[in-house]
Amino acid sequence: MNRPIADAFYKNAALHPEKTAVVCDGQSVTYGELASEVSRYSHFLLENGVSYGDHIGIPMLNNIFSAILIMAANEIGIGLVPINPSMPPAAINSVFASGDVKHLIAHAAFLRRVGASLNIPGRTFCSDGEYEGAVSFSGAETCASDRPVIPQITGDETLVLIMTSGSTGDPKPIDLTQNCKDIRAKIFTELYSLNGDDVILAGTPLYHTLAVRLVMLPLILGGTAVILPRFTPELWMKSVQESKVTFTIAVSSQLSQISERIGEEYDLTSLRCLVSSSAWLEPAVKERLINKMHCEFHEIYGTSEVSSPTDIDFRDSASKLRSVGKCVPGASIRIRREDGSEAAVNEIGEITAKSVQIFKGYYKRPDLTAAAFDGDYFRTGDLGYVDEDGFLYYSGRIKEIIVTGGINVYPQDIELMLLENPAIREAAAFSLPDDKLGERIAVIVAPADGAKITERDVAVACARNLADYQQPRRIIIVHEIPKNSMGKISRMDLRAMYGGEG
Amino acid sequence: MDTIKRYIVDYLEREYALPEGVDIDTFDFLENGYVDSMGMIQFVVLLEDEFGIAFDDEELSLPEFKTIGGLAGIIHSKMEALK
Repeated sequence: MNRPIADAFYKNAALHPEKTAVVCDGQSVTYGELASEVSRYSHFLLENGVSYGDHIGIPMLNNIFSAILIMAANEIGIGLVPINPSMPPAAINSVFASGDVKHLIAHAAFLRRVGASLNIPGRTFCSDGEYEGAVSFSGAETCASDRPVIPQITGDETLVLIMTSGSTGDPKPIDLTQNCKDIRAKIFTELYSLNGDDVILAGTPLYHTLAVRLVMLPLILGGTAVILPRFTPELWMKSVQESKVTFTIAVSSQLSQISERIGEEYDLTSLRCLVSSSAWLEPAVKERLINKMHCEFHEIYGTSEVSSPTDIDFRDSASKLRSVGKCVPGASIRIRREDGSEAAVNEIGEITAKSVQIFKGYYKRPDLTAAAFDGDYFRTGDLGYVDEDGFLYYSGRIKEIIVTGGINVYPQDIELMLLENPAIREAAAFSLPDDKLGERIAVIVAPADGAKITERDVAVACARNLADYQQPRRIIIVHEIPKNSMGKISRMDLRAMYGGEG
Repeated sequence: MDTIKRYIVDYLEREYALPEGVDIDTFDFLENGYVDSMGMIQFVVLLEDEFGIAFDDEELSLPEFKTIGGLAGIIHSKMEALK
Protein backbone atom coordinates (compact mmCIF):
# COMPACT_ATOMS: atom_id res chain seq x y z
CA MET A 1 0.00 0.00 0.00
CA ASN A 2 1.72 3.19 -1.16
CA ARG A 3 0.11 6.62 -0.96
CA PRO A 4 3.06 8.98 -1.39
CA ILE A 5 1.27 12.26 -0.70
CA ALA A 6 -1.29 11.10 1.88
CA ASP A 7 1.39 9.14 3.81
CA ALA A 8 3.60 12.25 4.08
CA PHE A 9 0.61 14.31 5.19
CA TYR A 10 -0.50 11.88 7.90
CA LYS A 11 3.07 11.62 9.15
CA ASN A 12 3.15 15.41 9.60
CA ALA A 13 -0.23 15.28 11.31
CA ALA A 14 1.08 12.73 13.81
CA LEU A 15 4.21 14.81 14.48
CA HIS A 16 2.57 18.25 14.81
CA PRO A 17 -1.19 17.82 15.36
CA GLU A 18 -1.54 21.38 16.72
CA LYS A 19 0.21 23.11 13.80
CA THR A 20 -1.92 25.08 11.34
CA ALA A 21 -2.33 23.10 8.13
CA VAL A 22 -4.65 25.22 5.98
CA VAL A 23 -5.85 28.83 6.17
CA CYS A 24 -8.61 30.26 3.98
CA ASP A 25 -10.76 33.35 4.28
CA GLY A 26 -10.41 33.82 8.04
CA GLN A 27 -10.80 30.11 8.84
CA SER A 28 -8.08 27.63 9.63
CA VAL A 29 -7.60 23.96 10.49
CA THR A 30 -4.76 22.23 12.32
CA TYR A 31 -3.00 19.13 11.05
CA GLY A 32 -4.83 17.04 13.64
CA GLU A 33 -8.23 18.37 12.59
CA LEU A 34 -7.47 18.09 8.90
CA ALA A 35 -6.27 14.49 9.22
CA SER A 36 -9.50 13.52 11.01
CA GLU A 37 -11.58 15.29 8.36
CA VAL A 38 -9.69 13.64 5.49
CA SER A 39 -10.26 10.21 7.07
CA ARG A 40 -13.94 10.89 7.75
CA TYR A 41 -14.57 12.19 4.21
CA SER A 42 -12.67 9.21 2.78
CA HIS A 43 -14.86 6.76 4.69
CA PHE A 44 -17.96 8.77 3.79
CA LEU A 45 -17.23 8.63 0.06
CA LEU A 46 -16.48 4.89 0.24
CA GLU A 47 -19.74 4.28 2.12
CA ASN A 48 -21.73 6.29 -0.42
CA GLY A 49 -21.03 4.57 -3.69
CA VAL A 50 -17.51 5.84 -4.51
CA SER A 51 -14.90 3.13 -5.15
CA TYR A 52 -11.13 3.03 -5.54
CA GLY A 53 -10.25 4.16 -9.10
CA ASP A 54 -13.46 6.15 -9.69
CA HIS A 55 -13.29 9.59 -11.27
CA ILE A 56 -15.14 12.49 -9.70
CA GLY A 57 -16.01 15.67 -11.57
CA ILE A 58 -15.72 18.78 -9.47
CA PRO A 59 -16.12 22.50 -10.06
CA MET A 60 -13.44 23.07 -7.45
CA LEU A 61 -13.77 26.19 -5.33
CA ASN A 62 -10.97 27.79 -3.31
CA ASN A 63 -11.83 26.67 0.20
CA ILE A 64 -10.77 24.26 2.95
CA PHE A 65 -13.30 21.68 1.76
CA SER A 66 -11.34 21.33 -1.50
CA ALA A 67 -8.11 20.77 0.45
CA ILE A 68 -9.81 17.96 2.39
CA LEU A 69 -11.07 16.44 -0.84
CA ILE A 70 -7.66 16.58 -2.56
CA MET A 71 -6.14 14.68 0.35
CA ALA A 72 -9.07 12.23 0.49
CA ALA A 73 -8.52 11.51 -3.23
CA ASN A 74 -4.87 10.69 -2.42
CA GLU A 75 -5.98 8.56 0.50
CA ILE A 76 -8.46 6.30 -1.32
CA GLY A 77 -7.04 6.33 -4.85
CA ILE A 78 -9.73 8.23 -6.70
CA GLY A 79 -9.22 10.71 -9.54
CA LEU A 80 -10.48 14.30 -9.51
CA VAL A 81 -11.56 15.99 -12.72
CA PRO A 82 -11.63 19.69 -11.86
CA ILE A 83 -13.58 22.01 -14.13
CA ASN A 84 -13.99 25.74 -14.40
CA PRO A 85 -17.44 26.34 -12.85
CA SER A 86 -18.32 28.88 -15.54
CA MET A 87 -18.21 26.25 -18.31
CA PRO A 88 -21.51 25.71 -20.12
CA PRO A 89 -23.23 22.31 -19.56
CA ALA A 90 -22.46 20.90 -23.04
CA ALA A 91 -18.76 21.49 -22.53
CA ILE A 92 -18.85 19.97 -19.05
CA ASN A 93 -20.56 16.84 -20.41
CA SER A 94 -17.95 16.50 -23.13
CA VAL A 95 -15.11 16.87 -20.63
CA PHE A 96 -16.71 14.43 -18.17
CA ALA A 97 -17.30 11.84 -20.89
CA SER A 98 -13.68 11.94 -22.04
CA GLY A 99 -12.47 11.65 -18.44
CA ASP A 100 -14.83 8.76 -17.51
CA VAL A 101 -16.35 10.85 -14.75
CA LYS A 102 -18.67 8.74 -12.63
CA HIS A 103 -19.66 11.04 -9.77
CA LEU A 104 -20.04 14.77 -9.21
CA ILE A 105 -19.20 16.86 -6.16
CA ALA A 106 -20.49 20.42 -6.46
CA HIS A 107 -21.83 23.38 -4.52
CA ALA A 108 -25.56 24.10 -4.46
CA ALA A 109 -25.34 27.21 -6.68
CA PHE A 110 -23.64 25.12 -9.38
CA LEU A 111 -26.22 22.32 -9.10
CA ARG A 112 -29.08 24.83 -9.36
CA ARG A 113 -27.56 26.41 -12.44
CA VAL A 114 -26.46 23.39 -14.50
CA GLY A 115 -27.03 20.22 -12.42
CA ALA A 116 -30.10 19.11 -14.38
CA SER A 117 -28.25 19.31 -17.72
CA LEU A 118 -25.34 17.07 -16.72
CA ASN A 119 -24.98 13.34 -17.41
CA ILE A 120 -23.69 11.82 -14.17
CA PRO A 121 -23.88 8.00 -14.16
CA GLY A 122 -23.02 7.70 -10.45
CA ARG A 123 -23.79 9.80 -7.39
CA THR A 124 -24.07 13.57 -7.05
CA PHE A 125 -22.79 15.10 -3.81
CA CYS A 126 -23.61 18.61 -2.60
CA SER A 127 -20.64 20.21 -0.87
CA ASP A 128 -22.56 22.96 0.96
CA GLY A 129 -25.74 21.87 2.68
CA GLU A 130 -28.70 20.00 1.27
CA TYR A 131 -29.77 19.75 -2.36
CA GLU A 132 -32.57 17.62 -3.71
CA GLY A 133 -31.31 14.40 -5.28
CA ALA A 134 -27.76 14.97 -4.03
CA VAL A 135 -25.91 13.36 -1.12
CA SER A 136 -25.09 15.88 1.61
CA PHE A 137 -21.73 15.72 3.38
CA SER A 138 -23.40 16.23 6.77
CA GLY A 139 -23.23 12.45 7.25
CA ALA A 140 -19.43 12.57 7.17
CA GLU A 141 -19.31 13.88 10.73
CA THR A 142 -20.22 10.49 12.19
CA CYS A 143 -17.77 8.50 10.05
CA ALA A 144 -14.65 6.87 11.50
CA SER A 145 -11.55 9.05 11.80
CA ASP A 146 -8.94 6.32 11.31
CA ARG A 147 -7.24 5.89 7.92
CA PRO A 148 -9.18 3.62 5.57
CA VAL A 149 -7.26 0.59 4.28
CA ILE A 150 -7.00 0.41 0.49
CA PRO A 151 -4.79 -2.63 -0.12
CA GLN A 152 -4.46 -2.18 -3.89
CA ILE A 153 -3.20 1.42 -3.89
CA THR A 154 0.26 1.91 -5.45
CA GLY A 155 0.54 5.66 -6.15
CA ASP A 156 0.15 5.09 -9.88
CA GLU A 157 -3.53 5.93 -9.66
CA THR A 158 -4.83 8.98 -11.47
CA LEU A 159 -5.02 11.83 -8.99
CA VAL A 160 -6.04 14.66 -11.30
CA LEU A 161 -7.21 14.79 -14.90
CA ILE A 162 -6.65 18.23 -16.38
CA MET A 163 -8.54 19.09 -19.56
CA THR A 164 -6.75 21.08 -22.20
CA SER A 165 -9.63 21.89 -24.50
CA GLY A 166 -13.06 23.20 -23.80
CA SER A 167 -16.43 23.04 -25.41
CA THR A 168 -16.50 21.73 -28.95
CA GLY A 169 -12.85 20.79 -29.34
CA ASP A 170 -11.56 17.32 -28.65
CA PRO A 171 -10.71 17.34 -24.92
CA LYS A 172 -7.24 16.06 -24.08
CA PRO A 173 -7.30 14.79 -20.50
CA ILE A 174 -3.82 15.16 -18.99
CA ASP A 175 -3.35 12.26 -16.61
CA LEU A 176 -1.40 13.17 -13.45
CA THR A 177 -0.89 10.34 -10.98
CA GLN A 178 -0.11 10.55 -7.27
CA ASN A 179 3.50 9.56 -7.97
CA CYS A 180 3.79 12.22 -10.69
CA LYS A 181 2.45 14.93 -8.38
CA ASP A 182 4.81 13.69 -5.65
CA ILE A 183 7.87 13.91 -7.94
CA ARG A 184 6.84 17.42 -9.02
CA ALA A 185 6.55 18.43 -5.36
CA LYS A 186 10.02 17.01 -4.64
CA ILE A 187 11.59 18.92 -7.55
CA PHE A 188 10.02 22.16 -6.35
CA THR A 189 11.12 21.49 -2.77
CA GLU A 190 14.70 21.13 -3.93
CA LEU A 191 14.60 24.03 -6.39
CA TYR A 192 13.21 26.57 -3.92
CA SER A 193 14.67 25.05 -0.70
CA LEU A 194 11.22 24.59 0.80
CA ASN A 195 10.62 22.99 4.20
CA GLY A 196 8.10 22.62 7.01
CA ASP A 197 8.56 26.23 8.10
CA ASP A 198 7.18 27.56 4.83
CA VAL A 199 3.79 29.20 4.49
CA ILE A 200 2.71 28.68 0.89
CA LEU A 201 0.00 30.69 -0.85
CA ALA A 202 -2.28 29.13 -3.46
CA GLY A 203 -3.60 32.27 -5.13
CA THR A 204 -4.97 30.85 -8.39
CA PRO A 205 -8.21 28.91 -8.91
CA LEU A 206 -8.08 25.33 -7.61
CA TYR A 207 -9.52 23.99 -10.85
CA HIS A 208 -6.09 24.63 -12.36
CA THR A 209 -3.26 22.26 -11.57
CA LEU A 210 -0.95 25.01 -10.23
CA ALA A 211 -3.07 25.70 -7.14
CA VAL A 212 -3.59 22.00 -6.44
CA ARG A 213 0.19 21.69 -6.32
CA LEU A 214 0.51 24.72 -4.03
CA VAL A 215 -1.99 23.20 -1.59
CA MET A 216 -0.34 19.77 -1.54
CA LEU A 217 3.27 21.05 -1.27
CA PRO A 218 3.04 22.43 2.29
CA LEU A 219 0.94 19.46 3.45
CA ILE A 220 3.67 17.09 2.22
CA LEU A 221 6.35 19.22 3.93
CA GLY A 222 4.54 19.93 7.20
CA GLY A 223 4.15 23.63 6.39
CA THR A 224 1.02 25.76 6.09
CA ALA A 225 -1.16 26.16 2.99
CA VAL A 226 -2.94 29.48 2.53
CA ILE A 227 -5.78 29.35 0.02
CA LEU A 228 -6.84 32.67 -1.46
CA PRO A 229 -10.66 32.53 -1.82
CA ARG A 230 -10.51 34.64 -5.00
CA PHE A 231 -8.06 37.00 -6.57
CA THR A 232 -7.83 40.73 -6.32
CA PRO A 233 -4.42 42.41 -5.90
CA GLU A 234 -5.53 43.70 -2.46
CA LEU A 235 -6.68 40.28 -1.23
CA TRP A 236 -3.42 38.72 -2.42
CA MET A 237 -1.23 41.28 -0.64
CA LYS A 238 -3.39 41.26 2.49
CA SER A 239 -3.17 37.48 2.62
CA VAL A 240 0.64 37.55 2.29
CA GLN A 241 0.85 40.08 5.13
CA GLU A 242 -1.65 38.42 7.50
CA SER A 243 -0.47 34.83 7.09
CA LYS A 244 3.22 35.76 6.71
CA VAL A 245 3.43 33.88 3.43
CA THR A 246 7.00 32.82 2.54
CA PHE A 247 6.56 31.27 -0.90
CA THR A 248 4.12 31.37 -3.79
CA ILE A 249 3.80 30.89 -7.51
CA ALA A 250 1.58 33.45 -9.24
CA VAL A 251 0.51 33.72 -12.86
CA SER A 252 1.85 36.60 -14.88
CA SER A 253 -1.51 38.38 -15.28
CA GLN A 254 -1.77 38.52 -11.48
CA LEU A 255 1.78 39.77 -11.10
CA SER A 256 1.25 42.61 -13.52
CA GLN A 257 -1.63 43.86 -11.34
CA ILE A 258 0.26 43.26 -8.10
CA SER A 259 3.41 44.99 -9.35
CA GLU A 260 1.52 48.27 -9.74
CA ARG A 261 0.47 48.19 -6.09
CA ILE A 262 3.55 46.95 -4.21
CA GLY A 263 4.70 49.24 -1.44
CA GLU A 264 1.32 50.91 -1.08
CA GLU A 265 0.04 49.64 2.22
CA TYR A 266 0.88 45.99 2.73
CA ASP A 267 3.99 44.46 4.25
CA LEU A 268 5.23 41.73 1.91
CA THR A 269 8.62 41.20 3.57
CA SER A 270 7.70 37.71 4.80
CA LEU A 271 7.99 36.50 1.18
CA ARG A 272 11.26 34.65 0.74
CA CYS A 273 10.65 33.59 -2.85
CA LEU A 274 8.14 34.59 -5.54
CA VAL A 275 7.74 32.66 -8.80
CA SER A 276 5.99 33.73 -12.00
CA SER A 277 4.31 31.05 -14.06
CA SER A 278 1.92 30.29 -16.92
CA ALA A 279 2.77 32.99 -19.45
CA TRP A 280 5.57 35.24 -20.44
CA LEU A 281 5.96 38.23 -18.15
CA GLU A 282 6.31 41.67 -19.70
CA PRO A 283 9.80 43.16 -19.23
CA ALA A 284 8.40 46.31 -17.55
CA VAL A 285 6.49 44.21 -14.98
CA LYS A 286 9.55 42.04 -14.45
CA GLU A 287 11.75 45.05 -13.72
CA ARG A 288 9.18 46.56 -11.38
CA LEU A 289 9.03 43.32 -9.40
CA ILE A 290 12.79 42.92 -9.29
CA ASN A 291 13.21 46.48 -8.03
CA LYS A 292 10.37 46.50 -5.54
CA MET A 293 10.36 42.97 -4.09
CA HIS A 294 13.06 42.22 -1.57
CA CYS A 295 13.07 38.48 -2.16
CA GLU A 296 14.11 35.84 -4.66
CA PHE A 297 12.18 36.27 -7.87
CA HIS A 298 11.94 33.42 -10.36
CA GLU A 299 10.15 32.66 -13.59
CA ILE A 300 9.31 29.15 -14.76
CA TYR A 301 8.40 27.83 -18.16
CA GLY A 302 6.35 24.76 -18.87
CA THR A 303 3.09 23.06 -19.76
CA SER A 304 0.69 20.93 -17.72
CA GLU A 305 2.14 17.83 -19.40
CA VAL A 306 5.79 18.40 -18.43
CA SER A 307 5.28 20.74 -15.49
CA SER A 308 8.20 23.18 -15.33
CA PRO A 309 11.39 22.02 -17.06
CA THR A 310 13.12 25.42 -16.75
CA ASP A 311 13.51 28.06 -14.06
CA ILE A 312 15.37 31.35 -13.80
CA ASP A 313 16.39 33.28 -10.70
CA PHE A 314 16.61 36.89 -11.86
CA ARG A 315 18.90 37.92 -9.03
CA ASP A 316 21.57 35.50 -10.28
CA SER A 317 20.90 36.09 -13.96
CA ALA A 318 20.39 39.82 -14.30
CA SER A 319 21.73 39.79 -17.86
CA LYS A 320 19.17 37.20 -18.98
CA LEU A 321 15.97 39.13 -18.28
CA ARG A 322 14.28 37.89 -21.44
CA SER A 323 15.04 34.23 -20.78
CA VAL A 324 12.69 31.70 -19.16
CA GLY A 325 15.63 29.95 -17.57
CA LYS A 326 17.77 26.86 -17.46
CA CYS A 327 16.79 23.24 -16.93
CA VAL A 328 15.71 22.22 -13.45
CA PRO A 329 16.99 18.95 -11.90
CA GLY A 330 15.76 15.94 -13.86
CA ALA A 331 14.83 17.92 -16.99
CA SER A 332 16.43 18.59 -20.34
CA ILE A 333 15.41 20.76 -23.28
CA ARG A 334 15.99 20.06 -26.95
CA ILE A 335 15.13 22.51 -29.71
CA ARG A 336 13.73 20.62 -32.68
CA ARG A 337 13.89 21.64 -36.32
CA GLU A 338 10.91 20.86 -38.54
CA ASP A 339 12.79 17.87 -40.02
CA GLY A 340 13.28 16.44 -36.53
CA SER A 341 16.98 17.24 -36.22
CA GLU A 342 18.35 19.25 -33.30
CA ALA A 343 18.66 23.01 -33.80
CA ALA A 344 21.96 24.84 -33.25
CA VAL A 345 22.63 27.32 -30.44
CA ASN A 346 20.47 30.46 -30.86
CA GLU A 347 18.43 28.84 -33.65
CA ILE A 348 14.65 28.96 -33.24
CA GLY A 349 12.72 25.69 -33.34
CA GLU A 350 10.09 23.77 -31.38
CA ILE A 351 10.79 23.49 -27.66
CA THR A 352 10.76 19.83 -26.62
CA ALA A 353 11.31 18.70 -23.05
CA LYS A 354 12.26 15.52 -21.27
CA SER A 355 11.59 15.49 -17.55
CA VAL A 356 11.06 13.24 -14.55
CA GLN A 357 8.00 15.45 -13.96
CA ILE A 358 6.35 14.12 -17.13
CA PHE A 359 2.62 13.25 -17.10
CA LYS A 360 1.37 9.68 -17.50
CA GLY A 361 -0.22 10.44 -20.89
CA TYR A 362 -3.52 11.69 -22.28
CA TYR A 363 -6.14 9.56 -20.54
CA LYS A 364 -7.26 6.67 -22.80
CA ARG A 365 -5.77 8.46 -25.81
CA PRO A 366 -2.54 6.59 -26.67
CA ASP A 367 -2.82 8.05 -30.19
CA LEU A 368 -2.60 11.64 -28.92
CA THR A 369 0.09 10.70 -26.41
CA ALA A 370 2.28 9.08 -29.08
CA ALA A 371 1.85 12.07 -31.38
CA ALA A 372 2.94 14.44 -28.61
CA PHE A 373 6.37 12.86 -28.22
CA ASP A 374 9.57 12.76 -30.22
CA GLY A 375 11.33 9.86 -28.49
CA ASP A 376 11.49 10.74 -24.78
CA TYR A 377 10.92 14.41 -25.51
CA PHE A 378 7.49 16.01 -25.17
CA ARG A 379 6.66 18.41 -28.01
CA THR A 380 5.35 21.58 -26.37
CA GLY A 381 4.08 23.27 -29.53
CA ASP A 382 6.03 26.37 -28.44
CA LEU A 383 8.84 28.01 -30.37
CA GLY A 384 12.09 29.03 -28.76
CA TYR A 385 15.86 28.82 -28.71
CA VAL A 386 18.68 28.09 -26.30
CA ASP A 387 21.64 30.48 -26.02
CA GLU A 388 25.33 29.64 -25.61
CA ASP A 389 24.94 29.56 -21.80
CA GLY A 390 22.07 27.07 -21.90
CA PHE A 391 19.29 29.62 -21.23
CA LEU A 392 15.96 29.00 -22.93
CA TYR A 393 14.07 31.81 -24.68
CA TYR A 394 10.39 31.61 -25.59
CA SER A 395 9.52 33.02 -29.03
CA GLY A 396 5.87 32.15 -29.68
CA ARG A 397 3.61 29.27 -30.51
CA ILE A 398 3.25 26.78 -33.30
CA LYS A 399 -0.20 25.67 -32.22
CA GLU A 400 -2.90 28.24 -32.77
CA ILE A 401 -3.83 28.77 -29.16
CA ILE A 402 -4.79 32.09 -27.61
CA VAL A 403 -3.29 32.56 -24.15
CA THR A 404 -5.37 35.08 -22.23
CA GLY A 405 -4.58 35.74 -18.58
CA GLY A 406 -2.45 32.58 -18.56
CA ILE A 407 -5.30 30.34 -19.73
CA ASN A 408 -5.22 28.47 -23.06
CA VAL A 409 -8.18 29.13 -25.33
CA TYR A 410 -8.74 27.17 -28.54
CA PRO A 411 -10.09 29.50 -31.24
CA GLN A 412 -11.88 26.55 -32.86
CA ASP A 413 -14.07 26.13 -29.77
CA ILE A 414 -15.39 29.66 -30.19
CA GLU A 415 -15.72 29.44 -33.97
CA LEU A 416 -17.65 26.15 -33.97
CA MET A 417 -20.09 27.54 -31.40
CA LEU A 418 -20.71 30.67 -33.50
CA LEU A 419 -21.14 28.67 -36.71
CA GLU A 420 -23.99 26.70 -35.14
CA ASN A 421 -26.06 29.85 -35.66
CA PRO A 422 -27.59 29.65 -39.17
CA ALA A 423 -27.45 33.46 -39.42
CA ILE A 424 -23.64 33.27 -39.35
CA ARG A 425 -21.82 32.22 -42.52
CA GLU A 426 -18.23 32.76 -41.44
CA ALA A 427 -16.62 33.18 -38.03
CA ALA A 428 -13.05 33.44 -36.81
CA ALA A 429 -11.59 33.92 -33.35
CA PHE A 430 -8.12 35.41 -33.02
CA SER A 431 -5.97 37.19 -30.48
CA LEU A 432 -5.14 40.85 -30.03
CA PRO A 433 -2.27 42.06 -27.86
CA ASP A 434 -3.32 43.15 -24.36
CA ASP A 435 -1.28 44.89 -21.66
CA LYS A 436 -2.91 43.08 -18.75
CA LEU A 437 -3.95 39.69 -20.14
CA GLY A 438 -1.08 39.18 -22.61
CA GLU A 439 -3.65 38.44 -25.30
CA ARG A 440 -7.35 39.12 -25.51
CA ILE A 441 -9.88 37.39 -27.71
CA ALA A 442 -11.48 39.00 -30.75
CA VAL A 443 -14.10 37.46 -33.01
CA ILE A 444 -14.99 38.44 -36.53
CA VAL A 445 -18.28 37.34 -38.00
CA ALA A 446 -19.91 37.53 -41.43
CA PRO A 447 -23.71 37.05 -41.67
CA ALA A 448 -25.35 34.49 -43.96
CA ASP A 449 -26.94 35.84 -47.17
CA GLY A 450 -30.01 37.85 -46.32
CA ALA A 451 -29.47 37.44 -42.58
CA LYS A 452 -28.77 40.20 -40.11
CA ILE A 453 -26.51 39.81 -37.13
CA THR A 454 -25.53 42.42 -34.56
CA GLU A 455 -22.64 42.69 -32.11
CA ARG A 456 -25.17 42.16 -29.36
CA ASP A 457 -26.38 38.87 -30.92
CA VAL A 458 -22.80 37.63 -30.91
CA ALA A 459 -22.22 38.86 -27.34
CA VAL A 460 -25.35 37.05 -26.12
CA ALA A 461 -24.38 33.81 -27.88
CA CYS A 462 -20.90 33.97 -26.34
CA ALA A 463 -22.17 34.84 -22.87
CA ARG A 464 -24.61 31.91 -22.99
CA ASN A 465 -22.46 29.23 -24.59
CA LEU A 466 -18.85 29.92 -23.68
CA ALA A 467 -16.94 29.94 -20.40
CA ASP A 468 -15.69 33.20 -18.84
CA TYR A 469 -12.17 32.83 -20.14
CA GLN A 470 -13.44 32.27 -23.70
CA GLN A 471 -15.40 35.54 -23.87
CA PRO A 472 -14.40 37.84 -26.73
CA ARG A 473 -13.35 41.34 -25.72
CA ARG A 474 -13.91 42.65 -29.22
CA ILE A 475 -16.59 41.74 -31.76
CA ILE A 476 -16.31 42.72 -35.41
CA ILE A 477 -19.11 42.30 -37.95
CA VAL A 478 -18.17 42.34 -41.64
CA HIS A 479 -19.79 41.30 -44.95
CA GLU A 480 -16.91 38.99 -45.69
CA ILE A 481 -13.93 37.93 -43.57
CA PRO A 482 -10.65 38.87 -45.27
CA LYS A 483 -8.74 35.84 -46.65
CA ASN A 484 -5.11 35.25 -47.51
CA SER A 485 -3.81 34.54 -51.00
CA MET A 486 -4.76 30.89 -50.60
CA GLY A 487 -8.36 31.92 -49.94
CA LYS A 488 -8.09 30.88 -46.29
CA ILE A 489 -8.91 32.81 -43.15
CA SER A 490 -5.61 33.49 -41.40
CA ARG A 491 -5.78 34.31 -37.71
CA MET A 492 -2.28 35.80 -37.93
CA ASP A 493 -3.40 38.19 -40.69
CA LEU A 494 -6.50 39.18 -38.74
CA ARG A 495 -4.32 39.92 -35.72
CA ALA A 496 -2.07 42.13 -37.86
CA MET A 497 -5.08 43.81 -39.47
CA TYR A 498 -6.97 44.66 -36.26
CA GLY A 499 -4.14 44.63 -33.71
CA GLY A 500 -3.21 48.26 -34.22
CA GLU A 501 -6.65 49.58 -33.37
CA GLY A 502 -7.89 50.24 -29.82
CA MET B 1 -34.73 35.19 -1.62
CA ASP B 2 -36.65 36.30 -4.73
CA THR B 3 -35.95 34.94 -8.22
CA ILE B 4 -33.92 37.91 -9.37
CA LYS B 5 -31.62 37.91 -6.36
CA ARG B 6 -31.29 34.13 -6.50
CA TYR B 7 -30.19 34.37 -10.15
CA ILE B 8 -27.62 37.06 -9.34
CA VAL B 9 -26.27 35.18 -6.31
CA ASP B 10 -26.01 31.88 -8.22
CA TYR B 11 -24.12 33.65 -10.99
CA LEU B 12 -21.74 35.35 -8.57
CA GLU B 13 -21.20 32.11 -6.65
CA ARG B 14 -20.10 30.19 -9.73
CA GLU B 15 -16.52 30.25 -8.47
CA TYR B 16 -16.53 31.56 -4.94
CA ALA B 17 -19.19 31.32 -2.28
CA LEU B 18 -20.22 34.71 -0.89
CA PRO B 19 -18.71 35.41 2.55
CA GLU B 20 -20.75 33.87 5.36
CA GLY B 21 -23.17 36.23 7.08
CA VAL B 22 -22.69 38.95 4.48
CA ASP B 23 -25.52 41.45 3.92
CA ILE B 24 -26.59 40.38 0.45
CA ASP B 25 -28.33 43.67 -0.31
CA THR B 26 -25.31 45.91 0.21
CA PHE B 27 -22.54 43.50 -0.82
CA ASP B 28 -20.36 45.13 -3.52
CA PHE B 29 -19.53 42.21 -5.82
CA LEU B 30 -17.36 44.24 -8.19
CA GLU B 31 -15.04 45.60 -5.51
CA ASN B 32 -14.83 42.18 -3.87
CA GLY B 33 -13.63 40.48 -7.03
CA TYR B 34 -16.70 38.33 -7.79
CA VAL B 35 -16.89 39.82 -11.28
CA ASP B 36 -14.13 41.82 -12.90
CA SER B 37 -14.72 44.79 -15.16
CA MET B 38 -14.36 42.59 -18.25
CA GLY B 39 -16.66 39.94 -16.82
CA MET B 40 -19.32 42.63 -16.27
CA ILE B 41 -19.94 42.72 -20.02
CA GLN B 42 -20.87 39.04 -20.00
CA PHE B 43 -22.89 39.40 -16.81
CA VAL B 44 -24.90 42.35 -18.18
CA VAL B 45 -25.65 40.47 -21.41
CA LEU B 46 -26.89 37.43 -19.48
CA LEU B 47 -29.08 39.54 -17.18
CA GLU B 48 -30.64 41.35 -20.14
CA ASP B 49 -31.28 38.06 -21.87
CA GLU B 50 -32.65 36.32 -18.77
CA PHE B 51 -35.05 39.07 -17.73
CA GLY B 52 -35.94 40.47 -21.17
CA ILE B 53 -34.67 43.96 -20.44
CA ALA B 54 -31.97 46.32 -21.75
CA PHE B 55 -29.83 48.55 -19.57
CA ASP B 56 -28.79 52.00 -20.76
CA ASP B 57 -25.34 53.47 -20.11
CA GLU B 58 -26.63 55.64 -17.28
CA GLU B 59 -27.96 52.62 -15.40
CA LEU B 60 -24.70 50.72 -15.88
CA SER B 61 -22.79 53.50 -14.13
CA LEU B 62 -25.12 53.75 -11.11
CA PRO B 63 -23.42 52.82 -7.81
CA GLU B 64 -26.40 50.51 -7.06
CA PHE B 65 -25.47 48.42 -10.07
CA LYS B 66 -22.52 46.94 -8.16
CA THR B 67 -24.51 45.60 -5.19
CA ILE B 68 -26.78 42.55 -5.29
CA GLY B 69 -29.73 44.38 -3.71
CA GLY B 70 -29.26 47.47 -5.86
CA LEU B 71 -28.95 45.48 -9.07
CA ALA B 72 -32.01 43.35 -8.24
CA GLY B 73 -33.93 46.56 -7.57
CA ILE B 74 -32.98 48.05 -10.94
CA ILE B 75 -33.98 44.85 -12.74
CA HIS B 76 -37.26 44.65 -10.83
CA SER B 77 -38.30 48.21 -11.67
CA LYS B 78 -37.37 47.77 -15.33
CA MET B 79 -39.51 44.64 -15.52
CA GLU B 80 -42.38 46.45 -13.84
CA ALA B 81 -42.10 49.28 -16.36
CA LEU B 82 -42.45 46.80 -19.22
CA LYS B 83 -45.73 45.44 -17.87
